[in-house]
Amino acid sequence: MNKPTFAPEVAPSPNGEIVIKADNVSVFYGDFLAVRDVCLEIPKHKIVAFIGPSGCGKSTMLRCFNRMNELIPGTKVEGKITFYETDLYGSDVDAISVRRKIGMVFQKPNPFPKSIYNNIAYGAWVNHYQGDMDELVERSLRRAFLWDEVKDILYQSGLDLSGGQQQRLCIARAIAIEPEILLMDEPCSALDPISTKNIEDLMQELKQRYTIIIVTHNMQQAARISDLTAFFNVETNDKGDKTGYLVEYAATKSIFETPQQQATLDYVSGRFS
Amino acid sequence: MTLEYYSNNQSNIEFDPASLKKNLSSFRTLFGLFMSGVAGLFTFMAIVPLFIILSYLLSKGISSLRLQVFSELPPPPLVEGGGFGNAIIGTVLMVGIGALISVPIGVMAAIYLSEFSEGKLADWIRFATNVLSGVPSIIIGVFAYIAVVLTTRTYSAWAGGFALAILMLPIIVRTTDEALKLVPQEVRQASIGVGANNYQTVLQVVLPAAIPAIITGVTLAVARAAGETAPLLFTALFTQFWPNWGNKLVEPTASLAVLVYNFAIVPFQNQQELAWAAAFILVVLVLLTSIISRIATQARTY
Repeated sequence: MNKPTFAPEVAPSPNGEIVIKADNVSVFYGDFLAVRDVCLEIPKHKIVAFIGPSGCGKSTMLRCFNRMNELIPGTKVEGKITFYETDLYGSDVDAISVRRKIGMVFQKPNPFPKSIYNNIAYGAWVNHYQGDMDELVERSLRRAFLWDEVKDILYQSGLDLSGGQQQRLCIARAIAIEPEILLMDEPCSALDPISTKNIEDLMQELKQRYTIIIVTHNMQQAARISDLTAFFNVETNDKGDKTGYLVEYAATKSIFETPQQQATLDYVSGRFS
Repeated sequence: MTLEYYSNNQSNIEFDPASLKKNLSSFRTLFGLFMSGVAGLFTFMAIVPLFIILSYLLSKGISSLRLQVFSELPPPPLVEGGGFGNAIIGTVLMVGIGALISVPIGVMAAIYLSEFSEGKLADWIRFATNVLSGVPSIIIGVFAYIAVVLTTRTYSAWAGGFALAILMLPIIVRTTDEALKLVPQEVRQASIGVGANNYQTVLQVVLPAAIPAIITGVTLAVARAAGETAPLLFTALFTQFWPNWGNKLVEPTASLAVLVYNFAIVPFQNQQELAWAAAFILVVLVLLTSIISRIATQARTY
């Protein structure tokens, strides 16, 4: 077992407030260990990128932060994940409230089969939003830079939009409920380069208000947009089971220019063992 | 390495433009044409029965179709005129009762199967609904006779509706279950991701997306039930009279299918003609429900 000798730095951004802290987190699907011993801290209002080869557990890790993994029967999370001071997996914590504070944008744009307006309003509605719905919809769409494109077609189906617009609609939907954190699971992998650039620009805007954690297969994207990067790798045990683990977590610049680990260097420079 | 191998080889071969031409006499071209023809012929044979039935019903039924068939009662033998207004009302009533019982139960059962159940139990319930859909309709009629007619000591529209409900139930469960499974998992996750709970997700997101397909299933079931004779023979029986609304449907009730059955086998010309007209009306009713379901399914989902 090649345990990582590198202990991820506790506070990569010393002046930043820590929003999420993962302490020795391992995730099992039934008996299968998907990712092990992850320790990392996510500072407030930063963009953190998770990179690594397929099967390294980066998406699994991401989905632990809003307890989305619970939708898969047999999933078990060991270790501790805290959101500010609260243990996310504490027995008195309601998963639905967690997801309200920690929003998610998925790999494939997945608007509801409802009107554009109702796509945004739905989240507010299920959370008993009391304020002015029209204003909330407009504000959310403006923040997602989608307002000008859809303001005249608010009552058309969200499925009529292009892929890039749909993904921005999904982002608008996620930020409409004012979360603290936005989890993005490969949000650009189904989009063309222009839509990708739109979303990347949007993320730079959004980080003024939200903390963003993004899983990406695109290393240039991680280098372009993120402040911090976590590199996950995968190891295979004797039985052929693949387990992911965190290799290195540091400022994006140092991951890409002066990585401390050989595995990181191999990965970011495109060499694979 | 492979690339070099190919390019080295390729350079020695003259490209022959004739090799791209169609060869109409080659075996595989002929075989392809032959099989396309066979498939086309069989497709044609599959739709021929529908058109023969429709045209036969049209030619036989339309001649005895007059306006008073909708407004008059079935006539005695050898008396000209008359109609089957009571049978149309009876069919609509009993299919309506059947739908009112089976749609809520069927849709809810399918929601449970597709959204909440896990593992073996769901498989068993699906298997059981499949078995139920294979039970001959006459058996379902016998069951309804024992369960409702014998206990209430009377034939009634309720007993007929009950029998039709059992007939419709598996169709509704199966089509709704399939419809819900077609709604992508990502949409459920998106709903849960914005902080919705299970019941909000199902009622507000999953079910609306599946509604067109569910409506198709319900109309299929309605069309099937409207044409069934066997379950009604000894549950609703038949009557020559208008429903007496004071009896609250607890009385023998006429239906189109049973009218066709009764009148088609008698030797009296006037009743035979009415049977043709009733068969025609029945098919038109079924056709109308199918068309309505087509319109309903045009709404865009997944």
